Amino acid sequence: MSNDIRTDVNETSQTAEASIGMNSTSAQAVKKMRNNKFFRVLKNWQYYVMVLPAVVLFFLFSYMAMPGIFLAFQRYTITGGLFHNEWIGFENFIAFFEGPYFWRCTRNTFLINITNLVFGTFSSVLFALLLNEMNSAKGKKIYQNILFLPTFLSVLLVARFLDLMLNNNRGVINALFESMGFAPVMFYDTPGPWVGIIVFAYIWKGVGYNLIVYLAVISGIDREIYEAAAIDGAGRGSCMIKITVPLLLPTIIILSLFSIGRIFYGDFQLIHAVIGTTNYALMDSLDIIETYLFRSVTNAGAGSAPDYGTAAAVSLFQTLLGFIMIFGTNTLVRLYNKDYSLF
Amino acid sequence: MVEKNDKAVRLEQVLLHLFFVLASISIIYPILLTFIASISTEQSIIQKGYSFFPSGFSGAAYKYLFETNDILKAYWVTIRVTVIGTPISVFLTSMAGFALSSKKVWGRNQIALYFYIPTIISTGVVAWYYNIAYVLKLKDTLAVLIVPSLIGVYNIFLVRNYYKTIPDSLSESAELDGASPFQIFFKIMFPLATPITATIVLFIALGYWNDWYLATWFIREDDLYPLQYYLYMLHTRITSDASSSQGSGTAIPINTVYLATMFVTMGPIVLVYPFVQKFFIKGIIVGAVKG
Repeated sequence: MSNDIRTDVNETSQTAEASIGMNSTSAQAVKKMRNNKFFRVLKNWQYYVMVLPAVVLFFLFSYMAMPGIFLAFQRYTITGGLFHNEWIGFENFIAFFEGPYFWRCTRNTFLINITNLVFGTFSSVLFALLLNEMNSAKGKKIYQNILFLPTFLSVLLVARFLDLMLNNNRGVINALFESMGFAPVMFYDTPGPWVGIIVFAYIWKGVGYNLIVYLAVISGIDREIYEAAAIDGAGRGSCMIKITVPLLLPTIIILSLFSIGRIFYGDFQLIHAVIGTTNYALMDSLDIIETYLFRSVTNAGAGSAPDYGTAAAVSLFQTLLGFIMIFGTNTLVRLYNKDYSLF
Repeated sequence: MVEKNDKAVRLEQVLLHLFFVLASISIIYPILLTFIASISTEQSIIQKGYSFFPSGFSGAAYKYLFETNDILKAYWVTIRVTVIGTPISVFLTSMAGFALSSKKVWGRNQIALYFYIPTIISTGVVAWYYNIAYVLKLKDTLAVLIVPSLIGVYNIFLVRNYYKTIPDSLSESAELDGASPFQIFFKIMFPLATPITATIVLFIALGYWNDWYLATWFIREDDLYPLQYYLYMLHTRITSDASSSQGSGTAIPINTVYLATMFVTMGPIVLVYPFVQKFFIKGIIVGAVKG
């Protein structure tokens, strides 16, 4: 608290000194008055009114949700609400860890995210490098605009496009197989290739966006470096590999570290749009923590009461994993370069 | 030697174009296919599958779509959500970002931290769901599609960072002339921040238009299905219909109706895309450089 006041005093005296059009005698008095924190808040009340709606919304939708964490330690009943259930310690966690979903969901979430991290980053950088090598400025622009289009489409439409291609009976790919004399592949009953398919869909949707980020970094690279290299006889290929890629590396590392921080958070939307609540065949490789939580909370399909206790335990488990990953990666980022760290 | 080099460069460029033409086709192909399949006959879909060369064309799906008012109802929900949500969201985000950028606000860093904490310590999706559904009791309301996503921490910080780049002297001189903070915001700062405002308007409007996550969790009443969620439910219905009985003898051309719904859902987005994409690209670059 005393610390707060001290920094406050420093700050105000600086602003008071910096303010213009004030004669020295009144400046003394005003300075003294301004040192009062209460006075400062009161005088600038309109600023606080401006930020108030956002503060209230955050309170309602984020902070008020926090007591819900306690559900993880309770045996939930509808009449018990949030606070009047039986407290059962870690029973919900044990039930989850011993059940069939713990390993499957955690593994799938991790696998999909890590595959996407590797291939998504690789393809974004590749696309950016190749587009950067293109001589025609017009072509560059047209391709960039087309590749950016999927950013605008909803995740749901992406899932429906996958269906157009891969549908067991009517999909384009199976029609192609048939015309070539191969047996059709029942994609929606075969979990094997789906991690790859989902990652492909992410790349399809996201490459245009990431491309822009990487192109922005590339365009910030000093042209003189390339000119110097060209004088020394370096070709375009070696310039790309020996100059552009190393200079992109900081961006790649930072973006990757942030993805690692969220590696146990799955992307609910696309996967839910593909498997829904009923495609059990694909769940072997696509059931992630979020889709499992959705099923147990909304309890689609079954007739019993929703299992908030276990679901809250899973959710808390995931939050803890996320917490560890965020602090872990933040430490890594700090080691790499202090300026890039989050906190 | 020089000639050979020229040839190599040209070949390289041709290959580059080829690569990006293929990539572009992969983007445009499914969009076009959706359209062509939606105007083919139901019979063609059932026999030949989704194809660029259907055995016959028919507008029955679109006729059905606009005769029954399901899709119009869904459109109306989405339009209301977008039209109500976007201005409020932009307005609140801009004000909060502006206030947090002002050096006069004591405790602004603490308030920023208050916004940031839920990102670090997320409550998890169950507590989030429980709070909105049972504590705030917003299930099956139009508000649940709008209010939870009114304020995003990323947008606040994006806007705040932009306002920080505007020189303090502007607002200081206005203050000396007797302008109140609200007047400073509306008359001076907000107009100056048009580039960033345009960007967040588009991001937020697109977010509302494309959202089906909130509906997936909180909407069970068909009257409140937004467009995207309606499409999801329609697809679920087709899959269950197809597995229960082939065709089931109904007069509704369900497959082409589904494709037509897909096309009608993405149509407006694809139409406005050429006009607004440059603002998005600018916004991403601003965000990437600043954040």
